[in-house]
Amino acid sequence: MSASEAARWQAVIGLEVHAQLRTSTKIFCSCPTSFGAAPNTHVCPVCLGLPGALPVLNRAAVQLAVRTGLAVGCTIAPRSVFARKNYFYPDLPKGYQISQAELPVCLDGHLDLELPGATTDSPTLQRHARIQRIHLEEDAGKSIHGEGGAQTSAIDLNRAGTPLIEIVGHPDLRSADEAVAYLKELRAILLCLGVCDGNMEEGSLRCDANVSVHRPGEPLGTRCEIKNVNSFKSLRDAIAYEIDRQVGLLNDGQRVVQQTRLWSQERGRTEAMRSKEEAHDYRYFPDPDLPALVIDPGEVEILRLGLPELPAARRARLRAEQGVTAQAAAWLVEEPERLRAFQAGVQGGAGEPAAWATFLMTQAIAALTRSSRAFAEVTTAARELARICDKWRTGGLSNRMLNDVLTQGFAGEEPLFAALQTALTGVGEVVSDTAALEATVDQVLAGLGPQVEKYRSGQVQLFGFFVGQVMRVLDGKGDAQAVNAILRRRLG
Amino acid sequence: MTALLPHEQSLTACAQAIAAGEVTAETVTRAALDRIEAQNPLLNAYLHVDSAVALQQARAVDLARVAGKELGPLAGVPVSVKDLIAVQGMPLTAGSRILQGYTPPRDATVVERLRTAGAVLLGKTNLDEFAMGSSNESSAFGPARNPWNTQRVPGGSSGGAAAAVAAGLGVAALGTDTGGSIRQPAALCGIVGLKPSYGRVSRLGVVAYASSLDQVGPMTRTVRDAARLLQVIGGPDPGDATCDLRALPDLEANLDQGVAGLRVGVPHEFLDGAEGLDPAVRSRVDAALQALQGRGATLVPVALPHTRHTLATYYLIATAEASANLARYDGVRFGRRTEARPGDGIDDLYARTRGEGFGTEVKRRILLGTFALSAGYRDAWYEKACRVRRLIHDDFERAWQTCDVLAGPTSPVVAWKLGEFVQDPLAMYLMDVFTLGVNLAGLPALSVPVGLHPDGLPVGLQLIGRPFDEATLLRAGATVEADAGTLEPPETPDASDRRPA
Repeated sequence: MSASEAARWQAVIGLEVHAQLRTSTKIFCSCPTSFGAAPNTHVCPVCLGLPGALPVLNRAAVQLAVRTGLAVGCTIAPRSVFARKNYFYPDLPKGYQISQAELPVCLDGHLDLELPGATTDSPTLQRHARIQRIHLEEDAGKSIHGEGGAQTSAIDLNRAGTPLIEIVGHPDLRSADEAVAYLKELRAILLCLGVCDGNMEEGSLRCDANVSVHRPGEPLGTRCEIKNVNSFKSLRDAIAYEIDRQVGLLNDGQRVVQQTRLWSQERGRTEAMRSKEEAHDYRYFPDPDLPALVIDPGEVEILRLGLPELPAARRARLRAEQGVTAQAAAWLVEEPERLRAFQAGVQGGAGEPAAWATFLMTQAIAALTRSSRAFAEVTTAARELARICDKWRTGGLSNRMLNDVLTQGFAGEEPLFAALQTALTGVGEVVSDTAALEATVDQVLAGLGPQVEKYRSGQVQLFGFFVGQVMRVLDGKGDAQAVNAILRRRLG
Repeated sequence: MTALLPHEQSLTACAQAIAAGEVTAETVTRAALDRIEAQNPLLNAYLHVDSAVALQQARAVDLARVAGKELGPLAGVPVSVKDLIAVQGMPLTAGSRILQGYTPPRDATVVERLRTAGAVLLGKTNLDEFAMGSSNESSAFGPARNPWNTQRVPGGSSGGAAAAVAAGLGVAALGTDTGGSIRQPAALCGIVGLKPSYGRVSRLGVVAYASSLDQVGPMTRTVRDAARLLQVIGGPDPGDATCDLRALPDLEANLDQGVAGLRVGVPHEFLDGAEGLDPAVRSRVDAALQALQGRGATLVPVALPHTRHTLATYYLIATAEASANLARYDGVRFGRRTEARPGDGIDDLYARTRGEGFGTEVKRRILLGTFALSAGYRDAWYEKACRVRRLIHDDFERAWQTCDVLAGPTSPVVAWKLGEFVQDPLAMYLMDVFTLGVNLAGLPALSVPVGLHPDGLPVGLQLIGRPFDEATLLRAGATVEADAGTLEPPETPDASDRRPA
C-alpha cells in the first residue's frame, strides 16, 4: 500500500485498562493479595465460591478507585452499584464476576497527553483523551494449562478476588504512539498515587485496545478488540499491525469483521479469538449480596485534598523550576523511583539539576543496564552519582574517565555508593597542567607532519583526529577543553 | 396419661426443664434420636443425623449445668437444621445430587449462634432441591411426608423441617424462606413458622437460592418458641453485607400483652378476592380473625392491588438470581463431577455435570432466570419485574398507614397428595400466591395453626408485619395461638408408640 493510500484512513483507538489495586487484602474477603505465593494458599470460602459464602466490600479498594477518579478529573458517583457479570470459566469460581455495570464509581474524566514533537524538546502536540468511566471489580484466578507436558489444566485461585479498577477510555486516540502515550500517562498517575504497582509483566496492569479505521468525515468503522497486550512495545506493535490489517482489508474491498483478537508477540500479529456472534451475553444484573456503594461527598473531598502532585504538574515544575529538559522530565516522572533518585541527587548537592537529570537518564541508566544491580541502588548512590556528574561536567573527569568510573563502580561487589567512591579515587585526576599538555601536543603534532599540512590546507575535520591522538597519549585523562584550546593555538 | 417428654412439648418448656435439672439434655436428645430412628424411614424428614455428636453436645450441656455454669437460652434443646444451611462436619446437600460429597468447612452464622446458645444439633432436614419447590417433591432424596397424613406432602421447601417438628423428631428447626418456604410447610404441618424481615438474620453460610429474598427463620411448636429462636439467630452480622445493623428487641417481653387496639388489616386479595381458596380454609381463617376481634383488635379492610402480579414478579426475580447463584455448581472445585470421557472439553464437563447433577425443577428455574436476564429480553422481563416489585412493596407501605399487621390464609389449600401436581408446575406455583409478596417486600411474616380442615389437615393463618417489627407480629401470633391452641398430629402409623394409649 502506498503512503498516500494509507493517509486516506484514520485510525480510531480506545483503551480499556485494568489495574490491580495495592490493597493488602482482597476486595470481598480478608485474604492477602500478595503475588507469588504457593498456588491456592491465599483462598477462603469467598474466593473459592463455596456455597453460602458472601462478599463484604473492602473500603480501602473504594478509596483507591476514588483517588484514581479524582486524579483524572472524574465525577465520583455518590451511589454506585455492583453487578454480576455471568460467564462460565474454570478460573471464575462463582460463575460470575462481581463488577460494576450501569452505575460505576467514577464517570467522565480525561487525560491531556503531551506527545513527542518534531524535536526531542518540543512537547507541543496535545491530545485530550476522554475517560468514560472507572469501575471496581474483582480479578479472576489463573488457569495453568498442561504444565510439564501434563494433559490436565490446573487452577490457581490466589488472584481471584484481587481488587481491580477498569479504566474505560473513549475512542479518542489516533495512532499507536498516542495509545502508548495514553497508557504511559495513566500508568504514571497510578504509580504516583500508589494505587497500582504498574507491573505489566506480572499482569498488575493490563490493557485491551479497541481499534477501527475510517475515512475522516465518515462514520466510524467496525472495531476489533485486541487482548493479550502486556507491554508498551506490544501495545504499539499490536495497534500498528491491526491498523495495517484493517486498512489492507478495506483497500482490498473486504470488510472488517467485529471480533476479539489476541496479540501474539512471537508471531507479530493479531489473531481472531471470537466473533461478535460468539461473544458472551454477560446477563448483568445488580448483585443482591451487596448494598449500593454510597460514598459521602465529604469523604471525596478529603481524598481530593490528599492527592499528591500529579505527573503533568510535576513535569511542568521540573522544567520551569529546575530547567530539566522535557524528555528528561517525562522520563523522571514515569517511575516514582526515578524521581526519588533525582531528588536524592539534588539534595546530595548536584550543581545543576537539569544536567543531573539528563546524566541520570542516559549515562547512569546505561551503566545500570550493563550491570546486574537494581535501580534501588541508584537511589542510595545518588549523591555519589551527582558528584561524578558534576566533576565530569566541570572538566574534572574526561569522558573516558567517566566511563571507567561508572563501569568499574557498577561492576564492583560492594554497595554501589562505595564502589563508585573506590572507582572515583582509582581513576586519578585529569591532566590539566598547561605546560605538560603543551609538551604532549607538540610531541604528537611533530609526528603527524603530513596531517598537519592537510589541516592547514583546509581539511579542518581532522581536528577531532588530533584530539584523539593527544588523548591516546594521555591515556584518556587529558582535560578536553584545555587540549582543544592548545591544539587550536598550535594549528592556527 | 403420663407427662409427655419435654421434647414433645415446646422449646421453651424443654429448655426450662433442662435448666431446672428436671430432665437431662441427654435424655431429651436420646428421645428425639429414638423417634427419628423409628419414624424417619417413613417420614424422610432428615437427610443426615449425627447421633454421636448430638449426644456429645447434650452431655456437655448436662456437665455444664452440674458444674453450675451459666446455660444458654437453648441449652440442651435438640433442634434440626434445614440442609441448605452449612453445619461444620455434616454433609451439605441442598437436596441436590450436585453437592454429592461436599462437607462445608465452616458453620453458617445462624448455626454458630445455635451452638453458642447451647442447642443440640440433631441433623439436617429434607427440602426441595435448592429450596425450589412447595411440596418437598423436588428433593433428590425423595420427599418428606406429612405426619398428619403420610400420603400427603409436608409443603416446601422446608418440608423436612416442618414434618420433623410436627412429629416430634426434634423440638424446633431452622428453615429458610424465599417465597413461603417456612410459612407454607408450617401451615401444612400444623406448626409455627416465622419468616423474619429481610436483613434480620444473617445469610452467611446459607446456600443461596434468590439472594434478595432468602431468609432463615424458626419453625417451632409455639409462637414463644419462634420468638426465642429468632432472638438467638437474629441480629447484625458483619459477614453479611445485607444483614441489618439494628439489634433485636426483646421478642418475648411483650408476647402476652394481647391485641387490644391492634389494627389488623385484612387484604381483599387474600380472602374475598382470592381465586382457588378452599372454603374450609377460609372458614378457619375467618374464625381466627373473629377471635382476634373478640380480643380487642380492629379488623381493617385493605387492598394489595398488585397481588395478581406477585407470582410473575417472583418467578422472574427469584429465577434470575438463582441462575447466577447456581452457576458455581460446575464440577470444578467441589461436589459432583461427571466422569470424563475421551475428548471432553471444559464445556462438556459443565454440561454433563450440571445435566446429571440438577433435577428438573432446578433446571426449569435456571432456564427461566437465564432467559429473563438475556440480551434483548432483560428489559421486558427482569427489569420490568424489578419495577413491579417496587409497586408490590408500595402496596404494603400504603397498608401500614391504616394497620399494624395484616392477616389472611398462609396457603389457599391444605396439604395435597404426593404426586398430585408434579406434572403441573404452574398449578403448584399458584399455591404460593399469599406468601410471595412478603419476600418481594422484605417483610416479616408468621404462620400460626388455626385448627383443622374437615379432611383432618392443619390450616395456617399468615400474619404479616411491618419491616423489622417482628415483636408486634409475634404478639398477634401469640394471641391467635391462645385461642386456636397448638396442634398435635396423630402418631405416625409405623412409628413405635412410646406413649400409653
